[in-house]
Amino acid sequence: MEPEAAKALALGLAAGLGAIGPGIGVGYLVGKTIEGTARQPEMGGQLRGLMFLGLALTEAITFYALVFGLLAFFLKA
Amino acid sequence: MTTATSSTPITEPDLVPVPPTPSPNDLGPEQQPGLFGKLFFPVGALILIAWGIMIALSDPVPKVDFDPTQEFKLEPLFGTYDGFFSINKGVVYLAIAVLGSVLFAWYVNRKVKGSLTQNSKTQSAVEGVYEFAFDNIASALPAGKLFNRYMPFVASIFVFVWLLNMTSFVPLPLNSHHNIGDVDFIYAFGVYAVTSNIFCTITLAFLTFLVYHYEGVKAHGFVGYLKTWSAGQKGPVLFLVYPVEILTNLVLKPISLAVRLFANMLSGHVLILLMMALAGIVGGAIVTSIFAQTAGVAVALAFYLFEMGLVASLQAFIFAVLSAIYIGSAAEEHH
Repeated sequence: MEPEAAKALALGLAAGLGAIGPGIGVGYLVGKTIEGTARQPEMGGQLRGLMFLGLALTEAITFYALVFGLLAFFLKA
Repeated sequence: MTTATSSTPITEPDLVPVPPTPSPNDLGPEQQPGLFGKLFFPVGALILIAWGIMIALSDPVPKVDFDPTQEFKLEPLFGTYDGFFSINKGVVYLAIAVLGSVLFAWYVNRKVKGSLTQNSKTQSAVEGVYEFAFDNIASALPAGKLFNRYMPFVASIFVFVWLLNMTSFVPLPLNSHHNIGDVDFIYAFGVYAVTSNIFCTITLAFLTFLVYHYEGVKAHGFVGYLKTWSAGQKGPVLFLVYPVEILTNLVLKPISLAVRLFANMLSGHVLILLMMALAGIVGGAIVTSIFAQTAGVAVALAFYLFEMGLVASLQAFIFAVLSAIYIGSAAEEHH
């Protein structure tokens, strides 16, 4: 396989597979927030704040995988 | 005494006037479409016809080499000096953010010393930002001396990173790869995110790294601070716990702080560039390229608004809050 093709594959696989876990995590987190707000609507504001915090922390995991893909793509062999 | 005789007409009591019953197909007065509804289909049809004519009369779009890394290269703007003090577009954006932060802090200082009433919009906006930083970000710091010492640090990180992120969506004529016309030093408009440079974010994360280790050592002593990395366990399980804790505290915390901000900003800007360049990448057949252009510009606009509205502010907030949490947890007392 040519190195260009391998690099392109590496970047694509890294970004794609790395988005599976955080996708599940973010969906779970937002679902729990909705559930909590449905149980106690007066806590909605606090729950929303905590959701944003958790959102950014789990979103970051996608970028860990993406960074390695970018490293594989742009560094010389 | 008058009695009702047959000559006076018998009047029925006043009835409430009943509107005529509408037929099932009638929309009713409050459901008639307004101006937007009346214009939607005719204007939409006209737009589609114009689009079709454009497709029919246009040439195929040639494929171009899409290289987004050129947008993120830093070249000196004035002259060819490329050393430590050279001015490039990153430096200009950084100077704007620094100026904004300093002006913000100076404004807060001046207004707090003066009157405490909210008598202008700027004052309430600035005080709102200060209160946000005080309540939400610095609340992660434990109360007491640590709060007093590091609340300005954490709030400054928030304001600085927020300004860096927001100004990265404002185009300035600093794009040294294309010039307007043929004049050499009138650069084209371009956008550059300073925080999409790993060196910027790692410098900010390094500041937090220094601060929280210093506070940890100050609160517990050097050996005591290393002992707080035992996560409350005792005995031989520490052989498993300590490598993980050392890796987390020395490597993962600052690196994750830096990479989170860097990758969010970089990927946001690269996605916007990619969507705008979609037509050039797809190329070839007329229909697909026109469709790619239209869809690309629309999606690029959506990404732009999403990034500017949500991701920029959220990432600045997360950076500041995590810095506060790390400082607080490094200096907390034993369980």
